[in-house]
Amino acid sequence: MPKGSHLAEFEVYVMLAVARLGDGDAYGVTIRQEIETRTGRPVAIGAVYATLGRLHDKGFVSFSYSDPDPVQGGRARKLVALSRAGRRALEHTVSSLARMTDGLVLRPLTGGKR
Amino acid sequence: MTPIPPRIPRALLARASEPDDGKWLLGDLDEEYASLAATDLRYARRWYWHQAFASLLPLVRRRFDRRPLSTPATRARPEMLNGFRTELRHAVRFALRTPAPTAAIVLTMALGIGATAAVSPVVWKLLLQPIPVRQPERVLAVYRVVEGTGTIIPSVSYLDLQDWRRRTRGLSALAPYTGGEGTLITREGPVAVNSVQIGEDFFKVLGSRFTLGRAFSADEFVDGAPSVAVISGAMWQREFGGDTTIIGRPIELASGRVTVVGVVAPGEFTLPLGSADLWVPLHVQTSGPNAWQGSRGTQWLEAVARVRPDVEPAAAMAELRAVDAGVQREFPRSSNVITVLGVEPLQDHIAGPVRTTLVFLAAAVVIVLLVVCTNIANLRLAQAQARQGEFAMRAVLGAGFGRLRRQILVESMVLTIAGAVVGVLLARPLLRGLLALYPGRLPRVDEIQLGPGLALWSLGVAVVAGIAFAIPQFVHVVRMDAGRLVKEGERGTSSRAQHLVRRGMVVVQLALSVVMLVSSGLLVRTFLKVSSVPAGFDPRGVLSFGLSAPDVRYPNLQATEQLYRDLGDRLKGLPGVRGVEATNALPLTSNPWRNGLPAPNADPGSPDIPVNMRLVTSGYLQLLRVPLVRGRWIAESDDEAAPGVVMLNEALAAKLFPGEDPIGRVIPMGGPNGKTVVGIVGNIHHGSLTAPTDNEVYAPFRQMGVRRSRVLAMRVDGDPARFTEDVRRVVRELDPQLPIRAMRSLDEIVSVAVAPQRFRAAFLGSLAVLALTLAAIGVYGVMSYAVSERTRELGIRVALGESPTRIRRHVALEGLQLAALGSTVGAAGVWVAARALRSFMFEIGTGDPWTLGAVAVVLTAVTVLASDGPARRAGRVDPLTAMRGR
Repeated sequence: MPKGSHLAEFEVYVMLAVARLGDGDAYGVTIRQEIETRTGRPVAIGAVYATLGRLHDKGFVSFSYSDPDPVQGGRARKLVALSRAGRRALEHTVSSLARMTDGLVLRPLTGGKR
Repeated sequence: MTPIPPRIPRALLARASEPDDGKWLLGDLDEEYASLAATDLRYARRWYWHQAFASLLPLVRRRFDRRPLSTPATRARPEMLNGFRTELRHAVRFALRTPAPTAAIVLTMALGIGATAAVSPVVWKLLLQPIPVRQPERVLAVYRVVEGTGTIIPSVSYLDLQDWRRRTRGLSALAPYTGGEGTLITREGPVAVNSVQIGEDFFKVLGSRFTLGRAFSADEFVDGAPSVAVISGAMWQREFGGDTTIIGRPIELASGRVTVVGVVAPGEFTLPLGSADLWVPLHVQTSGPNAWQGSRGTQWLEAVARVRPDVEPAAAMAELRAVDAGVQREFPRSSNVITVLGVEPLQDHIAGPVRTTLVFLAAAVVIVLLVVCTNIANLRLAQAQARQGEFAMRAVLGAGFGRLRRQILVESMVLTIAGAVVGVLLARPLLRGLLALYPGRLPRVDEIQLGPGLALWSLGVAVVAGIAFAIPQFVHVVRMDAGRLVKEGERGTSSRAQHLVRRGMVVVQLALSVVMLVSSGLLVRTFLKVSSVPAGFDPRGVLSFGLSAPDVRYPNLQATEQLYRDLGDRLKGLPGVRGVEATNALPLTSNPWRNGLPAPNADPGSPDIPVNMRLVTSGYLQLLRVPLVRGRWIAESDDEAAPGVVMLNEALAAKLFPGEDPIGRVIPMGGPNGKTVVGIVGNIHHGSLTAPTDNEVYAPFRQMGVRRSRVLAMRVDGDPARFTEDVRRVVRELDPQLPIRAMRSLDEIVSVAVAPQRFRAAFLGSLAVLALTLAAIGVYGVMSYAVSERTRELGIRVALGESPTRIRRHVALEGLQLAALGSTVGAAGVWVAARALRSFMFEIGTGDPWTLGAVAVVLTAVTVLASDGPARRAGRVDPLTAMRGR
């Protein structure tokens, strides 16, 4: 795998969240909530934005800007979509992960602190 | 209605995020906040704060990562270490390339660390660390306090002590002890040792551990029991080479042979502090010549107690006070000063006398540390501004911001750690100097050591300081606009805010220096005042030393008199010796013997006038050149067969016989016939130079029983130190088993008496000079930076015809403005400090005009000097060069 296409854990989460939400629905709030509810760990909006910025630098995501919502106080949003390269990288990471975990049974940790 | 999110975290986030990203991020956050706030506003606000803080780090990191304009977006981690080495090399090279600021920072840091490292263990040991005994809070010191004056009498009477022991419930042990002079006879000759008599429970109170043997048993306190001793670990090693077969063996003391029954573990906490060599059982004599030991009025025993484990120390202290009040009522004292019981934890009792001085030391060091910190921050800020160009160039050439950041940090660390290392090396000599300068001995000083813990702590401080002092540069680098800086020609201009910060720091430094200068000025003035107090006697050319004749070989008055007469004759035979006389206590040394005389025309039961008893040989007062005011001197003929006579000092004569002629009057002391006053002498400062003179009675030795311990005073030609060897030889020839104590000149004694004032003045004075020097560096730095930044403006002014002298004056005035501002801010601190120092001051007010005047002059002079260099440079600006922009 060429240097620069490596994905860090949180980058993977963000891209997976974008993929799950689908085009048109993925933006800061939804991505943050998606990761928080699914992983159960608190996620800072700043971390999401910083990661999106980094993914954008790598060319894995693209941004578009929505029209303001047609309600009172509605606002425009910065929407996120996976690029072709992004999809490839995500596919690669996820399938590598799947191959690594295939047939593996992780024993529960014993004696650890609760 | 949409709730408004908390403003502060919002502003923080707006600054932290990328400019074109900020509004989207905030919009998203607001959206979630609004829906949360609809159900629980307080939770929503907490959530918002939390989000903001958790977002700061990733956002800021992202901004730094974004900076490199043309580098690959990621950097492989393994290069970290290599990068670090490069940066370390860069940092050292840079530090060496700019030796002046490097030296300034390293030295400043070293002085700060060194001063703290030297003073903090002393403060820690004495004020904070418990004394090393089991349950230290349960060990109490018991003493008496003079009612009214609050003067502490460190001892209690034997009978009182026995009554307390019987009547209290809250104490598990209560023991007297009293230090005494002793002589150990070794093969090499006599050695003066401190032999302490102790009560039965003494080691139980302290919980002392024994290396060998045991503490005394009860039957060893019975009269007629065989003589036994417990020796200290230090003496065991020093005199007996740690011989483990010493238990049960006899050792020779001048007072007789004693058997060693125990050795206290070396390093164990013992009393009296740090000076006990051996302990022997206390035998109180209730009859015979030493019957005074059993009298209720004689307070001669120090006492310590241990509180029972199931009793609160406070309750035990209250009980003891109540019991003592009962004892005092039951056995009213016949005379003397009225005292009440004093009882407090031994820890406080030990630290008490030095507490104010230690707090003073600590405060002074903290102020210096503040000056040090502002100074380093200032120097680093100046460096940051000077190097903007360099950093900008490197940023443009592709150095990542992470990399620049690391380099700044490493540079900062190299400087502070180098400073800390030098500081730790400085700590030991500084501590030694401090202790040498310290008058007398600090309690527990032997326990003080500069261990690796302190070095480690100093290193930790250096790391924290390194990070702290890197922050101003981080801010600079983050804010700088690399492209513009490079275009502008490698030197940046500082914003108004940065300028204000630097000036502010210099003003703080000057203010702190003013506080230090005024404080030390007041103490220097005090020292001068105390030094110029007339002592009442002539200390020049007098050598003194103590002797005590052991009673086994000098059993009576005749033998003792013979010894001292022979010694006097032999010493007088030495060339250059003018006279040899003796007393029981020299002026300005210990004050062992207090007595009381009834006031004239007083009601029965009113307190006596306290007097000090001084025993003298017939020529002693003449030898000290004390003036005779009336009557005659004590004569050789005033011997044991003649009627008892005394001389009084003027202060006492005026109190006992106001407006009358005291000569020929009889005072009630020393037997039924009293003593006749034959002469009046001038006042001597016997106790201390700062206290009013005491009431003194001088009586001839020979009329006051057997006095084996004496202090001899020799008036000699030239330097008294030249005679020490002769004195030792003469004493050795006369009695080889007689140890000499405390040989020193009277001049030395007088200088020791002003030592506390000298110590405080010297200590604070040197710190004040240090603070002022640092402040001067600060002034210089700020002024030269201001000048170099305004070169263009100054050039224009020169071109427009303004004279260089005027420009120079203008710049110097700016420096003085800083000084004026600093003094104004410092005035508040001075007000506080001068009041805190009042107890150390003598015969001057807190607003002493001489001190304030001197400080004003010094401060002005130093500021003018510090800003003169930059001012001259300003005057020499060449308009053409300046306007060309370089």
